[in-house]
Amino acid sequence: MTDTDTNKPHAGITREKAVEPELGQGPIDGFRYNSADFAALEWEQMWTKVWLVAGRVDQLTNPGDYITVPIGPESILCSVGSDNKIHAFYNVCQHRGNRLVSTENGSLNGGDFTCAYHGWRFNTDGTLVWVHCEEDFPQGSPCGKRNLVEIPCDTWGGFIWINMDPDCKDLLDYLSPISEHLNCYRMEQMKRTHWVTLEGDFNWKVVQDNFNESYHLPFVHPQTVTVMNEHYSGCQFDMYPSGHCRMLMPGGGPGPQYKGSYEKTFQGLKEDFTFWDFDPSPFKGDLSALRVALQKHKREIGSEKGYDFSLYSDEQLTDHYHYTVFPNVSFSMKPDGCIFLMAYPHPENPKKCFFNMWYLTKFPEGATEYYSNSMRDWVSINQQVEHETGKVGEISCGHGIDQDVAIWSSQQQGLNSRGYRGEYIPHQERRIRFFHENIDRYISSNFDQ
Amino acid sequence: MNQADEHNLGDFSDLDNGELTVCEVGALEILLCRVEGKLYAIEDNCSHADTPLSEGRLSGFQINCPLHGASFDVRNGAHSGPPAYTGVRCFEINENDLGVTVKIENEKSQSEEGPQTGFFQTR
Repeated sequence: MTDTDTNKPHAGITREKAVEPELGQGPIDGFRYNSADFAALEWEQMWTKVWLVAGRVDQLTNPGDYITVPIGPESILCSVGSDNKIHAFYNVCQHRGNRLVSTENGSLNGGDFTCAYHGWRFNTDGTLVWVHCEEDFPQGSPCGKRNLVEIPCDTWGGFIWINMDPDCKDLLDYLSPISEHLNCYRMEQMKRTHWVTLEGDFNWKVVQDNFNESYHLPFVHPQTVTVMNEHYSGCQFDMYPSGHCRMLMPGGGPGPQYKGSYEKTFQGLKEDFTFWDFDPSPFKGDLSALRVALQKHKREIGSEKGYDFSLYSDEQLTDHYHYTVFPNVSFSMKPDGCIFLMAYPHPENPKKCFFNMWYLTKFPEGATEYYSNSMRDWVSINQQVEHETGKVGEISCGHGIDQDVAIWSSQQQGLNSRGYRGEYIPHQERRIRFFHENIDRYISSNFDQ
Repeated sequence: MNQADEHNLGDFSDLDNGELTVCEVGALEILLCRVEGKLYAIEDNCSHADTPLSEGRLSGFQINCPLHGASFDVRNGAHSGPPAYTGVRCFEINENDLGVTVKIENEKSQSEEGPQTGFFQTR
């Protein structure tokens, strides 16, 4: 190492390789993706037992603020209580079961949640505070008793997490070690600048399978082969006992399999080079040296650009840190943001789901406007993000994710075929097997929490 | 109309059917192969991932890239579909008793393209 070496081996995310789990060889058959019975098992025994993301903390800043989130057949209501903490409830009136709140978000401004059917009122703590004809309940007034049913709710990374299991483990215990790894990104300081929900004609696991492998990159994302080492030999795949995974993929230039000339690599990284005032020409003859040079350069001038890279390792300045949190979340981390990906099951049809893409931007110090390279779009720190909803193909999730979305429909169609004989996957796709085996641990009721 | 230069590649009478070789003309690497008695020449560079096609497998008129399986017709450089989305350059070949010549058209300089992007771009 020279005096000018800027490698900080102790800062940032550990690259320690996780112990490889022992995986089985059971089939991952098509029925898992299209059977109503299997979907029902997943719902009762898995979805209702895990921590799930409901929203962003910055959606609920004042007492009385609320959001509702559809998760499968349920609707979850999150509100800021009188204790200034976020609480989560089943969004159902405890009179005769009407859905209580029908809007996606709002603020009570000192009022109560009022059921449209018979006027029952619940305050932001979920307490039933007023009913019509209170004297007419021979079994006793329901006020204070038939309160909204509350479920565990906590926050991490600026996300609101809920769990339908009243006996669940703590959120940080559940998320470990992913939460420890990703704390350095301070996602609670990021602002959601893109918010898309697509109704897809594919099972939710088609989405999560996709983000649990990188085997598809050269075919679905051909632009990646010139700018990152997407070959499995250059990547690290980790699976943790908690059920979560990650992939570390070197960026800032192609891997050794790439035999092309420098032009396509330079073209692919052009915007990066321009933003960072980086001259790549000395690396025309040796692209393998580009990555470390880019890391060093970003470290040197990061603060000039308004970034605090003190919590990052050098690798985090160029490489792709991709985490999947069981069962349905992916964090694709960048030094200046995060692509957050999440699929929820359709309430009735196992061959459909709701796919969510959020882009979280970390604005440089002092910047209110920022060009998001990942989304090829200008974003504003002051603008409330619009929630765009539609069907697959109607709204873009950004160029890269659009490429993924485009393959999922045909994947589901194939999985529906009686001719599909189950998976035959290479070693590099083993996170998919790990994912399915974790689902099975829940639905077989043998999982010990 | 682009001008074309003719280049002498030498004698390839001993290149048999199903065999291929690589010739350099300046910075350009040309894959030369013989199929059904006739010589064909295409650019030795896969349009998908910039891999030398000469490291791949020649099967009939198709040359298959070893890295991700993209396939190109040596008669015209056309790709047969994904993962390639464009073909490769194809060159006119003339073989006679004096040897093999190849015509290479002078390409226009590449204009500035928009950035290739994907969600994997980092800042």
